[in-house]
Amino acid sequence: MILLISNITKLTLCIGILICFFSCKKYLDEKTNKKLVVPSTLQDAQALLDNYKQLNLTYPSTGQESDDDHYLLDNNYNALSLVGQQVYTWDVNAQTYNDWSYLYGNVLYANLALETTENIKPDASNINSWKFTKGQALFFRAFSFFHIAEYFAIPYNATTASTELGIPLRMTSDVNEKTVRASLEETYRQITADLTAAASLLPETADPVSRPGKAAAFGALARVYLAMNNFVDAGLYADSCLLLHPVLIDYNKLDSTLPAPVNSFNEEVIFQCSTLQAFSIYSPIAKTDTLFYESYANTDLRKHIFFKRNPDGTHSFKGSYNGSYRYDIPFNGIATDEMYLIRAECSARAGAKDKALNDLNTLLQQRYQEGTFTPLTANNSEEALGLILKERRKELTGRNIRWFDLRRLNAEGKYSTLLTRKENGQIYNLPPNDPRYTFMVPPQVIEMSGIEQNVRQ
Amino acid sequence: MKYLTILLAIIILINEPAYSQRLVKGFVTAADTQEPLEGAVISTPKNKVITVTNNKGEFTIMVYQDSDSLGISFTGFVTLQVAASTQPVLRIELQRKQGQLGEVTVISNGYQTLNRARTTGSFERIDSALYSREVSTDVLSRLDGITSGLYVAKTEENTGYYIRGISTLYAGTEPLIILDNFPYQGDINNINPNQVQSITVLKDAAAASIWGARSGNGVIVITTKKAQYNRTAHITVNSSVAWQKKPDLFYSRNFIPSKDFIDVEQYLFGQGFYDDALNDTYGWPLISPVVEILNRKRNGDIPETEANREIEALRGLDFRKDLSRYLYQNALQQQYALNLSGGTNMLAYIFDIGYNQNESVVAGNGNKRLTLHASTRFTPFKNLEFETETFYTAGKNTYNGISKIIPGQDKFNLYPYAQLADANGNALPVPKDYRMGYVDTAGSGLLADWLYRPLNEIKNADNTSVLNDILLKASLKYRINNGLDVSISGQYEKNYNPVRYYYNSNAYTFRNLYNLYSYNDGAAVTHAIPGGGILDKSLNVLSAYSLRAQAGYDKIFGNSHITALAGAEVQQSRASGQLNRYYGYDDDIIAFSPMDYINYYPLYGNFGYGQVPFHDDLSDVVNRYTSFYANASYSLKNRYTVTGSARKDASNLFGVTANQKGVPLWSAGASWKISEENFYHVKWLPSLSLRATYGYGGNVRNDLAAVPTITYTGGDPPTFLNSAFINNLSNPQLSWEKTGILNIGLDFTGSNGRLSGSVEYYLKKASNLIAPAPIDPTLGFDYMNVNTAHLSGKGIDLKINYLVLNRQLKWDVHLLFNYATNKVTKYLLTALAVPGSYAGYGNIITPIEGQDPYALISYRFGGLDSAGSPTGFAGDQKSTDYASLIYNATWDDLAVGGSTRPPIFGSLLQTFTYKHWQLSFNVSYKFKYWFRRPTISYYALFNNWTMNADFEKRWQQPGDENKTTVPSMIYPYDFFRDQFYQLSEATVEKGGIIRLQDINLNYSFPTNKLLRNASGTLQAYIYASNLPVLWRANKLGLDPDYLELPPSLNIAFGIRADF
Repeated sequence: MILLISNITKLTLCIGILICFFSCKKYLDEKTNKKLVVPSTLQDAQALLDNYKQLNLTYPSTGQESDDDHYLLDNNYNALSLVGQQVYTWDVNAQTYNDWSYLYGNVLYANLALETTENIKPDASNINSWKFTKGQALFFRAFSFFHIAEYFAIPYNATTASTELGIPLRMTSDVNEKTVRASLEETYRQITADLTAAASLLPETADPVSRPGKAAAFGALARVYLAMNNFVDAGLYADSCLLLHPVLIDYNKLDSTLPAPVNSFNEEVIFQCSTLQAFSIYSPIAKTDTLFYESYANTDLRKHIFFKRNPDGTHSFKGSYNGSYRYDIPFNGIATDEMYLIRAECSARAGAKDKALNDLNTLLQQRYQEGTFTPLTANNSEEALGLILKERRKELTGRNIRWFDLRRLNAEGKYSTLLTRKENGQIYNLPPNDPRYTFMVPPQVIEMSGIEQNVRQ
Repeated sequence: MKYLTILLAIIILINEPAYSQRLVKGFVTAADTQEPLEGAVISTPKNKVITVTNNKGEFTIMVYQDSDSLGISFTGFVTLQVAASTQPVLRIELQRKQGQLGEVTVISNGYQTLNRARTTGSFERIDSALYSREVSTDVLSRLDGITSGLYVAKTEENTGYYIRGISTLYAGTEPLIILDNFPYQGDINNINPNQVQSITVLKDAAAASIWGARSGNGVIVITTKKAQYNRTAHITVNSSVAWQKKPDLFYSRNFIPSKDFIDVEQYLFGQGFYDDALNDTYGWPLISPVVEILNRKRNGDIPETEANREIEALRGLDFRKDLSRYLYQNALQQQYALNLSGGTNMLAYIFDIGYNQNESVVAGNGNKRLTLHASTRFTPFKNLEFETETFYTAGKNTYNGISKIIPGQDKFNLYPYAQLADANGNALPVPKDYRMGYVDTAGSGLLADWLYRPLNEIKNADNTSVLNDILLKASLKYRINNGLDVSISGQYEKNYNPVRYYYNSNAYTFRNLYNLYSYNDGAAVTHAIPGGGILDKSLNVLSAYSLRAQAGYDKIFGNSHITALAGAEVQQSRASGQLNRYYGYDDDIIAFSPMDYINYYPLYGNFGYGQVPFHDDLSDVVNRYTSFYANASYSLKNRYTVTGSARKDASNLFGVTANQKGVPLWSAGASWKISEENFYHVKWLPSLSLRATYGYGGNVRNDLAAVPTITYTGGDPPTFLNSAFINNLSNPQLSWEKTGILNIGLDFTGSNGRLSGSVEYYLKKASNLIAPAPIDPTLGFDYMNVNTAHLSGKGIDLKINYLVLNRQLKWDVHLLFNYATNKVTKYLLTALAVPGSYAGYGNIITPIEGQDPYALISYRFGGLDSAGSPTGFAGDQKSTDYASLIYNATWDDLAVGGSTRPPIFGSLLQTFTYKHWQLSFNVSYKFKYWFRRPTISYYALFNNWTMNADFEKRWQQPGDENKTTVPSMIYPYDFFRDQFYQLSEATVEKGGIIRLQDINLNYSFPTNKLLRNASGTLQAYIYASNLPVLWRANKLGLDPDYLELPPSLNIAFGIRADF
C-alpha cells in the first residue's frame, strides 16, 4: 500500500509541475480589474488632481449657511431636517463631519499625487509637467488646509498663534501616521509655505481653471494673508495675481433674465471650485436679507443679475459663478473681482486712499448700467475702507466668503456684527467673536484619534 | 406490466471452454432507470475476491470454480447472487429497495462520484424524478421546497439562494455553482433544466471544502444527463405549455381610492400647499389634474360648476383597472425538449435540444431561448476514455413593457384616477418629468411632442438583450492499474451578451432630450441633439477557462476500502464590457451623428445649460485562481469511515503579498454504521449510522486591494479631463474569509424500508470577514475594509421519507424541516453609527454586534395620543419629539425584533399513486419571522403621490386612538412624525406562512399498448404553481414575500415520452 501511495505522490508531483507552469508568480500578478491602477506616473498623479468631483466640489458651505445675507421663513425652516435647523441656528451640535472628512479627503488626494510625483525623477523631457503636477498638489493641500483652519481653528492672531491649537497637518498618505493638532502658527506657516512653493512651480495660468496656475496660488496667498490680517502681503499677492489675470466681466453683457445669468469658468474665474450642498439654504427657500438687497442701487446690475424675485415678493440669489442659480452650492473659487477688493482693502489700510478707490471704481464700473456709474469718493482712507468693505459684501455675496469676513472683522473689533435669526418666535443670536465661529471637531474624529476638541463655554 | 421484483440476468450464450480459473466480465445497471451503477461491490463466496464497478458499471473478477456464484451489492438496492456463468459479458440489473426511490447512493462533488455509504459529509441529492416534478425554464428555482437546508428568498425583484443561513457579510451570499465538474461562470439561467440529471448540494465542510476558497456559502453541483455505454438508442421528449394569469393589481396595499385622494388634494389646495409648485416656472414641478382644475377655478379660468363636474368625474376612476388592462396580460409559456441517447461498449452519445418561448405577464416583455447540448464518451481501447461535451445557448429577451409608471421629479407613483386610454382605446398622456400644462404648449409647435403616453411607449420601445453562450468541455482519463487512474480535463466558455435600447424618434426618452436641448432665439429653434433617434448599445463578453489534472485511487483490500484523489487546477474568467450611445441614429441605414459633449448648450425653458449626456464606458475584470487539492477516505468493514480533504487556493487578489494570497482550507470527518455492530439489535430500525465532520470553507472578495489604487473614470463634465479616484488606502493586512463548520448527522432506515431519513446539526463560525471598520476620517477615508467581522450560525436539517400506504394506492410523504439562525458576533461599525438609523425594513444584511444580520429594528411605540399623533419613548418618558426620537434614540429606546429571515422553514411533499395516476403536492412553510408592512406617510402622500391603504384606518376623531395605530393626517406634514411611525413597532407584522407550493397530476399511459419498446414510458401531466396561500400569520392578507405584486397562478400541461 505504501508503494501505491508513493505512486500517487509521484503522479501528483508530475501534475503539480504541469500546473506550476500556470501558477508561476506572474500568473497571479494579473490585475483583477483593469480599472485599478497603482499610481506611479505623472499621468496618474495628474488624473488624481483632475478629479473635479473630489478636489473642486467638496469645500464646506457651512460658512455660507451660517452667514447673514439670507434668512428663512418659519415654514421653510420647519420643513428642514434637524441637521439643517441646527446649522442654520448655529447650534453647538451642528454637524461638521462631512466638512472635515471631505477636506481631509482632498488632503489625501493631494498627498498621494505629491508622493507619486516625488517618486519620479524629473528629466528634461518631463520637468514642466513634473513641476506643474507638484505645484497643483501643493496648492490643493494648502487650499484644503486653509479651509480646515478657517472652520476648525480660531481666527489667526499673530501674537497668540504659536500657543493656540491649529489643525492636524497630514503630510503623507500613510495610514500609520498619527493624527495630532499642530499649533495655529505652524498651520498657517505650512499653508503659506505650500502655496509659495506652488506659486514657484506652477505655470502662469492653467487651462482649464479647475487646475490652479500661478495666478491661483497668488490669489490663494492673498486670501490667506488677509485671514491672517497681514495686509501688506495680502495686498502684494493680490497685485501679483492681478498682473497675471486682470480681466473683469462687463455685467452689461450678461442677460439678467436668464435663470442663471453668470457662467461657470467665465473670464473672471482664476480657479474654479464649489462646495458640498448646504443642509438648509437650497433655492428658493433662502430669502435674501431685505436690507441687504435694498442696499444695491437700481442701476446696479448686480441687483438684477444676482437676485430673482419670488412670487411672494421676497428675493433669492441666482447669480452663482458656478453657472447656476443655486445658493446652497456656492462658488468657492478665486476670481478677479475678489482680488481687486483685496488690493483695494489693503491699500486703504495702508493709507493709500486713491489707489484703493481706483481699484474699487474699476470694479464697479463693470457692474453698473452703462453710463450710470459715478465713481465713488471718500474723504480719507478710513472712509474708503468702509466703502470697500460694504462693496465687498455686495460683490461677493453667494461666494462663501462672508463668513470668513465676519470672523476676521469681528476679531478686529471695528467692523463687528451681531448675527440674529428669528424662527417660530424664537430669537437666536451669534455675538461677535463667539466660540461658535469655530466649529467643533466631529466627535468621531476625537474618538478615533484622541486629538483635542475646540473650546465651548 | 408487473413489478420487477428480483434480479433479471440476461444471458447471452456463447460457447466457451470451461476452465477452473477464469476472468468474468460484466456490467451492472439499475433495473428501473437502466443507469450503470458505479461502485457496486462484486464478491465471490466468502469474500475471497472483491471488486467494484467502474463508471460504466463494468467489472472484471477472477473466479476459481465454475460453480461459484457472484454476490452483487449496492446500497439502496437488493443484494443479488448470480451464477458466474460462462457468458462473455454478464449483464446484471439490480432492483431498488422499496421506499428508496429518491434515496440514491452515488453523489457527485464535482471532482469525483462518491458512494453515499462511504461519505461523512452533508450531501443533499435531488434526483431526476423529484427534480422533473416541477416545470420551470430555469435550473435553480426548482430546488425550492425540495432541498433540505436550502432557503430560497423570493421577492418581486430577485431570488436568492442561501444554504444554511449566511457565511459572509459583504463577499456575496450566493453558493458556488458547479456544472459538470467545473464552476459555471455565466448566468446559470442559460442552462435548460431538461438537461439536468441530478443536483447535489454540498452543505458542510467535508462536502464542500474540496472547492476551497469559494465554498463558504455551500456548493450546488449540477450534473447533466450523461451518455451511457451499452444502452440502446433512446428518445425522450418533454413538451409543455403553461398559462400564467395576469397578476392581481388589486392585491397591493399601496393604494388610496380616487375619492379620498382627491379629498386630500382639495384640502391641501385650500391650505396653499401647491402654491409654490404652481408658481414655479423654473423647475415646472408635476401637478395633478385635480390641482390643475382647482387652480383654473381659483384663477377664474373655468366656472366653479364646470370645475366641480370635472372633479366629480375623476372620483370614480381607478387606475389599477387601466394598468391591469393595458400593461399586463395573461401569458403563454412554451417549452419543448428532445433528447437522443444511446451507446455501444466503445462509444456513447447524448444529444439534447430545447426551445422555450415565454411571454411575460408584463405586456411587451418576454424571452426566447434555444439550447443545444451534445456529449460523447469514447473508449478507443481499454482503460482510456475520452469525453467531450458542448453546450450552446442562444436567447433573446425583450423589455418593451412597463410594469410601473414613474412620473419622475419627486413623484414615484401615479395618482389613482390616472387614465391610460380614452373610451376608444387611444393612448392618453400622463405627467412625466415636467408639469403637463408646460409641455403641452412649450415651443408653440416648434418642438417635438413632449407628452408621455405609456401605451405608445410600449409600442415604440425596441429594447432587447441577446445571448450567445458556448461551453466546451473535454476530458481524457486513463486507468493505470490497481485502481489508479489519471485524468486531464478542461473547459472553455464564451458568452456574448449584446444589449440594445433603441429610442426612435417617437419614443419619449428621445423626444424629451431633443426638446430639452433646444434653443428658441425667436426666429428659429436650434437643437443640440440631432433628430432621428438614440441607440444605447452595450456588449458584455465573458470568457473563462479551467484546466485540471487529477489522479484518483480506488481499491479494496480485504475489509478495507480506500479512495483518494489529488489534483491541481487553474482557472481564469474575464468579463469585459462596453457601453456606447449613438445620437441621431437611423436604424434603417445604421448611421449616426458625431456629437459635441464638451460645450454647454442652453436648455429649453428655464433649465439653464447642459452638456449632451455622455454614456460611453468600458470595463475589464479578470479573476485568476490556482488550486491544489486532495482528499481521501478509508472504510473498514463497511462500518467505519474516515475522510479528510485539503485545498490551497491562490488568486490574483490584487496587491496582496504572496503568502496571504493563498488560504489553506481543510476538513476531516468520520462515520460509523452503528447498525452493523454485533451489539445492535434494534429490529425496527435496521440501518443506523452516525457521522461527524469539521472543516473550513472560504469566501473571496477580489474587488479589494492592499495597496492604494486609483481608478480612471475617463473625462467627466465639466472639465472632461481624464481623471481618477482613489479606491482605497493601503491595507496590507487584507486576507481571505474563512468559515469553520461542524456537522453531526444521523441517518436511519426503518425495518421494511418504508421509513428513512436523516437529521443533521451544524455550527458555523465565520471569521476574518471583510467588513468596513471606521477609521479616523482625518486619514481621508471614513472607513476601511478589514478582516474584522465575525458571524456565527447554527441549525438543524431534518428529512423524513415515509411510505404511509403501500397497496394499490400508494401514499408517500417527504418531510423537510430546517432550522437556521445567524448572529453577528463582531462588527466594529456598530459602535459608531447612530442607533436610530438602524430602524429599517431588515431586508438587507445590516450587521449589528450581537444581532441577527436581518434583525428588524423599530422605534418603540407608545400608541397614539389623544390628538392622533404617534408617541415614542425617550427612556421611560413618552415623547412626540420625533426628530429627537429618531436621532437621539439609544439602543434602549429601540425594539430589536426578530429576523426577517425565517429560522424555521421546510416543506411536506405528498405523493399518491393509484394505478397509472399520480398526484403530488408540496406544502411549504416558514415560521417565526417578521416583516414590516409599508404604511402611510403623509409626507410621501403629499409630495410623492405614494399611497397606502393604512390611510383609511387613520385616526380621524378623538377615541380613534383606541381602535387604530395609524396617525392622523396633519398639515403641515411632519417628515419625522411619518418616519417615526413607518419604522415603529406598530408596523411590524408576523411573517409566518403556509403555502401550497405546487400540484402535479400525471398519468402514465400503459406503454405496452402504445409503444413497441417495452421499457418506454409515456406520461401526461398538469402542473400548477403560484397557488393561493393556505395560512398566514398576519391579519392583513399579505404574502410577506411579495408585498406589492405576487406571482400569479401558473398552470402547465405537458407530455413526457421516453422510447
